Amino acid sequence: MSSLFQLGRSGLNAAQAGLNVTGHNIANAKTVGFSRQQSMVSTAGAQASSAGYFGSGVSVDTVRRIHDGFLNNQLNAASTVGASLTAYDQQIGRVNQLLADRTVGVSPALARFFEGVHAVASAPASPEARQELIGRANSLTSQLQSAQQFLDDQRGSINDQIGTTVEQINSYAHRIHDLNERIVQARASVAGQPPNDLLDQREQLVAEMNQLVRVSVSEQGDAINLSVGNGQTLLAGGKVYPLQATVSALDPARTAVAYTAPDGTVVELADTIIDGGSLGGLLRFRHETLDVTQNELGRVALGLALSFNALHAQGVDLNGQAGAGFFAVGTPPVIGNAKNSNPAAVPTATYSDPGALTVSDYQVRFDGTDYVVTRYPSGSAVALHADSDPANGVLVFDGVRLAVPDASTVARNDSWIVQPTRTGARDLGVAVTDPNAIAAAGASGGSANGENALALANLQTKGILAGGTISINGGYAQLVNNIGVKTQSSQTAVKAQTTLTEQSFAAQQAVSGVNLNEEYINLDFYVQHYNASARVIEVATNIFDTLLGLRT
Amino acid sequence: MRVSNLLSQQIGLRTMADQEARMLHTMQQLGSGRRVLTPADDPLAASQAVAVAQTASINERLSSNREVAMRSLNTQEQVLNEVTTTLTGVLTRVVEAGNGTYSDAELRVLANTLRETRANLLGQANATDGNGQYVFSGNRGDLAPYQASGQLSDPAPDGQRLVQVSQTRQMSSADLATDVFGRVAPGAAGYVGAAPSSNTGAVTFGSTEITDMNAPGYGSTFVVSFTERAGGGFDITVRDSSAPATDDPVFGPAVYESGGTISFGGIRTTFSGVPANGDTVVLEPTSSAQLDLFETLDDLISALEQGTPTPQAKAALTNALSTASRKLNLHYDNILTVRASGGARMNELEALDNEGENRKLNYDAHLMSLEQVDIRQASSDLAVYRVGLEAAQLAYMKIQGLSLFNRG
Repeated sequence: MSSLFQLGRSGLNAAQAGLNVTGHNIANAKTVGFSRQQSMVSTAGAQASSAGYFGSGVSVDTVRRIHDGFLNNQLNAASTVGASLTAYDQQIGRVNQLLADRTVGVSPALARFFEGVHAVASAPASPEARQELIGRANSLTSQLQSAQQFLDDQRGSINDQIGTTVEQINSYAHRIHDLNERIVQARASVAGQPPNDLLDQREQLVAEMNQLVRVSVSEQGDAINLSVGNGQTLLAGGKVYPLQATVSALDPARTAVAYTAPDGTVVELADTIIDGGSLGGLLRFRHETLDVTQNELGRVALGLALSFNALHAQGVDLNGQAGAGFFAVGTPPVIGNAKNSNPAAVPTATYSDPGALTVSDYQVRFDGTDYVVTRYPSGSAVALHADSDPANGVLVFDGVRLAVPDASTVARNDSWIVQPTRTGARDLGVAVTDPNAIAAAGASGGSANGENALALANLQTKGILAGGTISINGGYAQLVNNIGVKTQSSQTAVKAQTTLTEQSFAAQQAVSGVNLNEEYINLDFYVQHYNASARVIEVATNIFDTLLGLRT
Repeated sequence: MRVSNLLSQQIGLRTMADQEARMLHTMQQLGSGRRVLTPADDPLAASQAVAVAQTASINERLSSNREVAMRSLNTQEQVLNEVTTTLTGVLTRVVEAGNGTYSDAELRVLANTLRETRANLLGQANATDGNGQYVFSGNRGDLAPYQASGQLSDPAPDGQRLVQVSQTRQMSSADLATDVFGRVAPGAAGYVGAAPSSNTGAVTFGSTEITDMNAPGYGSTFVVSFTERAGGGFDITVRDSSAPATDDPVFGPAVYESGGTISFGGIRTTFSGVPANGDTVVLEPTSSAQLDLFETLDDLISALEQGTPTPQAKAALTNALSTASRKLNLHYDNILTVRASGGARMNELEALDNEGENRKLNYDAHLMSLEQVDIRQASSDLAVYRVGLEAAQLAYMKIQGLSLFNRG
């Protein structure tokens, strides 16, 4: 039979353990990622006697973490999507703000430019009207360049953010790796007792990491392994395989994410493979919206410049010469893959038909015998235009004329990215500086002849883009509409996901969250329990004293 | 379901933040007067506004274009007004000279006056507008339409000065010199008679009347020739100048009677006086006559300067005056026609201006409906969100205070 002392003492211990755990809970009521703890007690066995089994009191078994791994995973899944949508929303919000004021920017500059053309058409001999037109043309190109610069700056900023985010992800991976080791040690040092706070910390790190990128967690004993994307290992077997932010082999203007393979090689990942978290949001914004928006802007600039130049060349200027180029236009950028066999063998590209330009990028690949053109990054096939002459190395498609290098200078799987409209707005300039060189007259010439200028003025409302169905301003309005629609749907998606995340959080908190009222009641109970056990000891002392007092 | 403190705090914060955000957005709308602050607020309205704004700016520019055209037409009208007055004076003089009471000296004085008038008219034909461009010179604004001699300059004026006055209409803002001073008004019918200077007789012709436009041969150029008859008198023969010489003549040969009326090819005319053998008179239809004002005046001036020393000279002068009078009337009619056309164009410009004003109102209204904030709606939204925010704040404060720890 256990002594009353022991019984009382075991009760005191249990009560004290409970008070400790409750105090710990109360102290951590606001700690993010904390799971409330509970001390688990059970009876300490019983001693057999002829009069029956007498219990030996209570023993504290363990401190348990009230925690549901499934709910945690659900919360992480929801919040990683939320972080990705928020990052996308922030980026597209900036472009949205750029287009906010309709009275400034590209559209009014376009209108004023064409007003200037009309002025020259009505008074072709007026030097003031001609000089004014050149001024307005410069104003228009500078507006287009400024919009392009804004987007280029955003691209640079995204490259930087990718770099810092990848560093942060790697740092988290290292910290989780540290915690793995500490948890394994903690488990080993005290057999069978879970290191609750360490486990909470590690889960919190995983949750924070999910804000940066979607991470898949798999357990390996007491340690966890991490992977990103569609299975690229980040942390496994006690070793961190860091992600890297590298200059993309396909396009030096982009920073791409690369993973480290187990044998140490660095492999670049396509933008679509990484999802979730702010990294996924940034990558998605870049290839879904930023690239397309820059291409749309470039298409507007190129559509205007190419069709204006073509018509300008048919007119006669005040010096009696045929019109030279009014706008200065660049060439479509062709970027060779960094792994190409012969960096000097690069196709040369020029523009053919502005109406055929699209907002897509293209990849040209040499498959050993032929050059194959596909859309990039979707990979869908591209039909060559009838003017192409593959036998002589001329490919014409979607408004671009490409002269490919001789088959003997390239190797199989050499590829190049063609971005026809990406730099359209940046490379636009005004080639005319002399007001007399504006070809306002028709073919018969004359200083009061404004026929060509009339035709040029009518380009404002003429269908030029997309096979002649959309006007220049219409192309710009489409750009505005696309950004507006995407921003609006992004805002809606963020709101919807926030609600979902909140629900997941509520479910998780329902299990693991600290409720101060509950802890108050627990405190009360354990205090009572402590008092009662203390009273048991007091009684035991009294009995002993009584025993000792039995002298005579 | 258990609710943790963390959760209730988060929910309270989020509801308040949401209300604040909505309130802030409505405040921005009211403050700027725009419902569509960024394209995301209403993507369709934002892109439509871009398109409507462009159309509105085109409308404004077309109004400026119309002003340019109106100025040009006004300048032309002023010049032609003076030309008309001058021509009226010339016609009066021609009538006076034709009544036969002028002496040779007076005729020469008249010739000199007409020389001055011709120089005046040449100056008006070479008039310039406010920008230093010649009004009637077509594409070559820097080249006068007529040289000092009265010849058309080389190259001749050509080309319409077209101005875009509405989305679909290009209007000519000035007429060509050849259309004003070197043309018979389209649709003019009738004949012009002329006696060549090689005539040695004293035959004169009267006015030509049209009897039947559908008669065969009407519209051809007729050459009337007088041949001596054996036994005295003259025969009169009329040939179609475009028919081969072997064809039969259109009229005659018939005996010539001075003062007699003869009809042929749908026209009727009279000849008087005594011809010489081989004299001819050419009757040209106005539709194909080559007319030039300065040539007409030159011919008239040289005829006046010949004077009337002989009956032949008198007949030649009478013929020259008839020709000149007819031609000047044709010129006069043509100039009136050009002025009428200019006036019609100016009327059209005014009508287009009115239409342009209406369109401007429409575009402005459309833009407003797309972008302007509805003040009443936004104000009531603001009040609703403010109340919502206050309610959320009160609820939060009440709930945060509810804890057993606070009750001692």
